[in-house]
Amino acid sequence: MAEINTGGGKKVSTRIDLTPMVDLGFLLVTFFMVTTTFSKPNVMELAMPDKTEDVSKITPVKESRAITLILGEKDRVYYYHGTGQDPENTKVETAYFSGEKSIRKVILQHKADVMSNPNLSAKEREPIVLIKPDSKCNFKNVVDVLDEMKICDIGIYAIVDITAPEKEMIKNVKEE
Amino acid sequence: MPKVKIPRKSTTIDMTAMCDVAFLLLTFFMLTTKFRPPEPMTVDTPSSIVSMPKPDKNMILLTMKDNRVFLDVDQQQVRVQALEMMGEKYGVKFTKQEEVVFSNLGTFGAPMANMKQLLSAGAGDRDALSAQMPGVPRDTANFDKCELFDWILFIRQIKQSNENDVKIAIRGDVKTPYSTVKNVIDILQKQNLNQFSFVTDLEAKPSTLNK
Repeated sequence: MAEINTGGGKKVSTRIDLTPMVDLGFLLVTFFMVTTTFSKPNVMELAMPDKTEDVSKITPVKESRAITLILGEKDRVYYYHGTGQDPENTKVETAYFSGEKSIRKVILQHKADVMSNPNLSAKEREPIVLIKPDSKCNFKNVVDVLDEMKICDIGIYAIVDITAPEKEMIKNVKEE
Repeated sequence: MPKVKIPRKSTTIDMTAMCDVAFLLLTFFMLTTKFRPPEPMTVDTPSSIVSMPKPDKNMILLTMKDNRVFLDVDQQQVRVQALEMMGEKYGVKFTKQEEVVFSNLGTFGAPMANMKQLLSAGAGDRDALSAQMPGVPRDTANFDKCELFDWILFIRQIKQSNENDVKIAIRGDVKTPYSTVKNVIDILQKQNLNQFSFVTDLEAKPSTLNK
């Protein structure tokens, strides 16, 4: 009978080099690790003022503590100090979300002013921000401005409906 | 001097154990990864610095894009029950098979009038049809006939009877007009839901503030 020539009986090792396989394994592990931790969305909690509460029982806010931000179209933020009780004498200014005239600077400046205001008692030295989105602004603006509250560490803020005089006020700003 | 003989050792080590570990981890991550469920539309969420992960359970997810609002809720049983209650109110009867389809549907934006059409469509056409839907109708002038209001109310009732508290998450596209957001918030506040959350992507905290 003919025999298969095994090349003089030299034994071929059955061990193979596993290094590339390990490399591949860890590459995939890294991929799955990264995708699992980063694909998870985050949530920003928001509490709206209770509409059923009796408004007359709430003590009014001191004008000097408050700043009102109106979110307009084209990523613009109109702001004025106070709560807009006297629309005739309120000076409305424009800011943007980024750049030289950023809303962050305005908020931080307001915060610094309130915290060093000698006319307020120590308890009252906390800024209040009223956010009034106009119907023309988009969802990103709302989230961005809430984000600014977190960044600037503002404790008291609320999303409030825009009033008719305020709509007029921002129209006048546009004309300037 | 006599030479010290150093025994030569092979530099190759056994990779089998390392390979085992790598693939064990790989299997673990592959199994725990949840792939994103198919969505009728792509939503580009805004980014923020908050890093609180979104809970998976007992969550009503409202997705907003342009003028449309889509709704999603976990737990198939709850979905079927809510569909039955909605069917009863709006006069639509669903078959067992349609209920099964609905329980696996994910995010939907079909008005009750079009729901049957969507559920009876073939599996191949359903995704395309779902994307064309006008969103869950929300008539904020008349809350009795507001479907979005009813969906949320019924889901909350069902969850409450199972002793689960349900949370509301709003996931909006960057370009969603505020009028849509306001509509949704009004509907939630009508039910005395004053706390809800916005779904966002993570963004780095600006470093210029640390002064």
